[in-house]
Amino acid sequence: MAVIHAPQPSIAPAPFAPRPAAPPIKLLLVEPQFLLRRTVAAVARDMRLADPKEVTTIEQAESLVSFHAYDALFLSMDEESAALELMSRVRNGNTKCAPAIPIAVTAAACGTPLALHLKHLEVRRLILRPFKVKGVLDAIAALRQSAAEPDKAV
Amino acid sequence: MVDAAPKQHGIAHTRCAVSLKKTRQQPKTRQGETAWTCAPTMISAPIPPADERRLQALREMLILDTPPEERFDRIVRFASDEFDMPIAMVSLVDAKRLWFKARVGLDVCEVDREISFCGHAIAQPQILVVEDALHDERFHDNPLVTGAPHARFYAGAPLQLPGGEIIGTLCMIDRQPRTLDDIDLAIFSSLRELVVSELVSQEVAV
Repeated sequence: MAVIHAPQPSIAPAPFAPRPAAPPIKLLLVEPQFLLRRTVAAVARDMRLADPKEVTTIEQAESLVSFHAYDALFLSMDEESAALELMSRVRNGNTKCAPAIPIAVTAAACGTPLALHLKHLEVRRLILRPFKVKGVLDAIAALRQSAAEPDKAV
Repeated sequence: MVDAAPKQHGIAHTRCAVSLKKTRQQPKTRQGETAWTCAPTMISAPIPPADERRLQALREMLILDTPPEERFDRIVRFASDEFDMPIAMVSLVDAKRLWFKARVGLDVCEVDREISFCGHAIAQPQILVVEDALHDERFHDNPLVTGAPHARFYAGAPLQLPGGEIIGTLCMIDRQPRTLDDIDLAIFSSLRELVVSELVSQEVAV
């Protein structure tokens, strides 16, 4: 059976699809890998899940959160200590972002110390490598829902 | 002929090409499948109305028969990993052949245009998905289905240049029937746009 699809398909409601009327969230996306970052950002925009600001390093993210408010953060833990410091600054109200914004992270591995850190920082999602773009989009959809309903854990 | 990740690129065309004539004369079968007992009824890839203009645009890019490049290789690797596809390619549709600028899971570097799935895919700008080639009149007895690489599923996203010419596809093949949902299609389309960006940036650089 052959099916022809439009190049920019209109996305049918998926289990984690946003409500059509809800605006996309302002998302700070920190991911060093170009293809993953660009694909996630493009599809999140197409699906109106998020309006991502893409950066490759925590240092760039530090600079941005000092001057701009975001609805959610999605961070790679490749620079683990810097990423933990950034999240601490957010939670302590030392950035332009609301202290309670939802945060998700990706990591190559997660031992007990890191898991405790992340729990303490109220990280909503941890995605371990290797992962799929689809999994990241699912997490962003959960962040979006959490940003809209801050009292509910993801 | 296929089934292994390419360890070397740039194999001479005369040695690696899959041709309709050769394949039809020597049909190969998988275990439990029946060899052809009558003339094939597959539908050959159509020639688009403005094929000369399309070919001119492709040749002016000076990309045909160039060595592999990491910027394309990494996109097909990414697509293969993301969708768990054994075969993924950036294919460029020349006058008589399909030539692969990047490929994963296939060790031929070109096939006859006439038998190619991508030859069908470039007929329109939309993504072409063949969920099960055995149940598609265009492909059910195609040599690429009845023989190596034993394609059952195909998805091809046409690569359309800013001038409108479709010069090839980003495509994926599986050996079993598959489907893609809307999220998959959005991801695949995004990867296609990255391939087009790389092609266009090369064009500007030349």
